[in-house]
Amino acid sequence: MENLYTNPWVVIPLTILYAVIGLNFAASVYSLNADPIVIEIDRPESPLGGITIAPFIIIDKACCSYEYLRHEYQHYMQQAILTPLGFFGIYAGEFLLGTPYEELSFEKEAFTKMNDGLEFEIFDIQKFKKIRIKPEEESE
Amino acid sequence: MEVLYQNKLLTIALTIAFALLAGNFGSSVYMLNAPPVVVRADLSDFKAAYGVSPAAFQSWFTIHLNTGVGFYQTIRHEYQHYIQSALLTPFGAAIGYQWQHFVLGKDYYDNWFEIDARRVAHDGLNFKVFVWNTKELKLIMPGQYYYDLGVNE
Repeated sequence: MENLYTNPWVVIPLTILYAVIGLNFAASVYSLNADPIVIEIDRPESPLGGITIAPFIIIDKACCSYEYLRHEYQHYMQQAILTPLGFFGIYAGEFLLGTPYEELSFEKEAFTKMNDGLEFEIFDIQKFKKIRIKPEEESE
Repeated sequence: MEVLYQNKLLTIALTIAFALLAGNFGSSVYMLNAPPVVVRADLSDFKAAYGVSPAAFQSWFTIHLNTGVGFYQTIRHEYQHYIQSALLTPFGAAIGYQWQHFVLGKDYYDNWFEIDARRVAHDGLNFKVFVWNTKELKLIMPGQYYYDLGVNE
């Protein structure tokens, strides 16, 4: 055991691995109990409307409608329950097995919820305040 | 998923479980890269694993020394348990230890974790500890007696 403990080739990878796993669970603890932190970016050339890496939702300004935010909020809840690593593990697994984007189970669920009318709160990091998201309202 | 997310009982249970796991892995990150915290205290009323009153015991990132205990071998033995916990994570080491005890029925001297710690008690390793009582970093070396470690003058 002491040979492993004093070997930097063991200690450094283990430190990184354990830190990632620890942060993964810490992100879930936050996500289960607090609102997502939304970061708006201006990337018109990017094909991605938004991406959720709990506890953050990064969304393109052009896509900042209720539907997009609700879609990402569903991913936020999925990651809170399954942890981000659990979510991305299943997501990548389905994708690597050849499932098309729209048929991925997490995406299918998020698409079906986009217009369900759920009201929720987000924390807008740029404005540094909480915002209530309601259907048919563009985020400010 | 939102039904689960809005379920208070599930959210509280998951929060506790995930917080413990985050603490477990976070502790290992500390333990892999920093010295144990040694606490000197009166352990006469304390019961450790196997129900024994220990001269010293390791728990999480701390090593507790009973009053008057100061052999290098004792501290080195506990430091080996610290290394085991760092590599396997505190939960992993605790589960492994109790598995040996309760599932495999090993007594104290046959428990793999204790065998490993006894094996190195005289290996002469120099290592550092942070002494909580005196708030100092101390190098532990073989051939020294640390009866005054953590004892405030």
